[in-house]
Amino acid sequence: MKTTIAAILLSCLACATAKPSSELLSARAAYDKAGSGPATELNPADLHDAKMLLDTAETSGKDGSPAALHDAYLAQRRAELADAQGKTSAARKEKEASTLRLQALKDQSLTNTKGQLAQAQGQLAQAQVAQAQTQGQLAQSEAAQAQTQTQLAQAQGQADSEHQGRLAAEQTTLDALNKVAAVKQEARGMVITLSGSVLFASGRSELLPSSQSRLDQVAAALKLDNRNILIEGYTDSRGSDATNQALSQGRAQSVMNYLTPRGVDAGRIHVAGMGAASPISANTTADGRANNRRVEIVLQPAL
Amino acid sequence: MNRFIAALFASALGAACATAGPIPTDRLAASEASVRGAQEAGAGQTPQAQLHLKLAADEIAQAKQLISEKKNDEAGRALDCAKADAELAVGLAREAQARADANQAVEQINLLQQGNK
Repeated sequence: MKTTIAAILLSCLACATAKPSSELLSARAAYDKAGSGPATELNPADLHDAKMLLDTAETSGKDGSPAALHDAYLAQRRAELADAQGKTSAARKEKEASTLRLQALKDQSLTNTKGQLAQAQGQLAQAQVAQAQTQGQLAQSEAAQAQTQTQLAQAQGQADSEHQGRLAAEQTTLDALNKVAAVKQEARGMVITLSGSVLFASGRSELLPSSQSRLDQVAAALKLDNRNILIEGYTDSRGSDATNQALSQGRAQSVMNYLTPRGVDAGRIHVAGMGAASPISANTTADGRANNRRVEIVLQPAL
Repeated sequence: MNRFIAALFASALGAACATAGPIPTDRLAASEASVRGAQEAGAGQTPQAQLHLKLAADEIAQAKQLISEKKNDEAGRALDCAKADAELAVGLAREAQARADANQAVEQINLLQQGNK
């Protein structure tokens, strides 16, 4: 490096006579190189300056003056400078184009991203609408369920209170009837047995006056109840079946006829003559036969 | 060797032709300013630019030596050479910078295109 620099320095300063000098050849080569580069198009003014200096060097080179090498030296530098300036301009144009391309790519990327964002937002909005609908349906369903439960509770409450009320009413009836007659619970219902000796004379179906106070109490109890009532008449075993059947039917009817005007709904009452069936005592004694002459009032269980 | 002998001869001839013109103060200032400009342009970072920066500095030193020897015309020519080398150093440094910028922009495009794939 140092040797080269020293040689160049000396050459620059020298008053050499060689022609064409190596400096002039170098200057021509440098100018030719610059002329075939981008400086021709991009830096014609710089190239022109180099050309002027080269022309000067060519002219002064002919007389071999010490200034000739100097001029060639300057011409070479200026030609190399013009070449560098041309390449600089070319690189800057490249960079400008690349920057535009880069911006275009970024813009495209941004547009794509915005599109994707908009799409995602659309989907999100749809999902939110669907969710809101689902929640609305859920709320409706819950409200309907709550209403149903309320109605169910009300119905249950009513049923419970009706049941309680009925149980209380039945107990009231039972309590009242227990005071006046034999009461027992059977599968067919609550059975109230009224002794025939108290109600009827032998062979008759008209009620005895002595029976009225007792039947008044029965009527008062049955009036408060709402079960269906079956009134069955029975006889002892004496007499024909046909007679006993008619007699038992008449006795049941007599009881019904007594109860109906005293507040017991006739629609609830059925009567049946049972004749000598189902004796509750032996028919061989007078007491037994008296027990068998009876009327049974059956309170049929509510369905 | 031939070159060296020629240089010696030229040197001797140059010395013989020396004339005592005015001291080239303006050209000295101009060439020194050009060297500073080249340094600021980053000529020290590019090998080719660095070479011409070094040449310019050496030529200025040579010119100062010639001035002290009353060889003002030769000193003036050396300073012209120094200015030309310094300006070339600036041009080379700018070219290197512009080329690096252009390559970097291409690299960014490549990166972006790879990222999009």
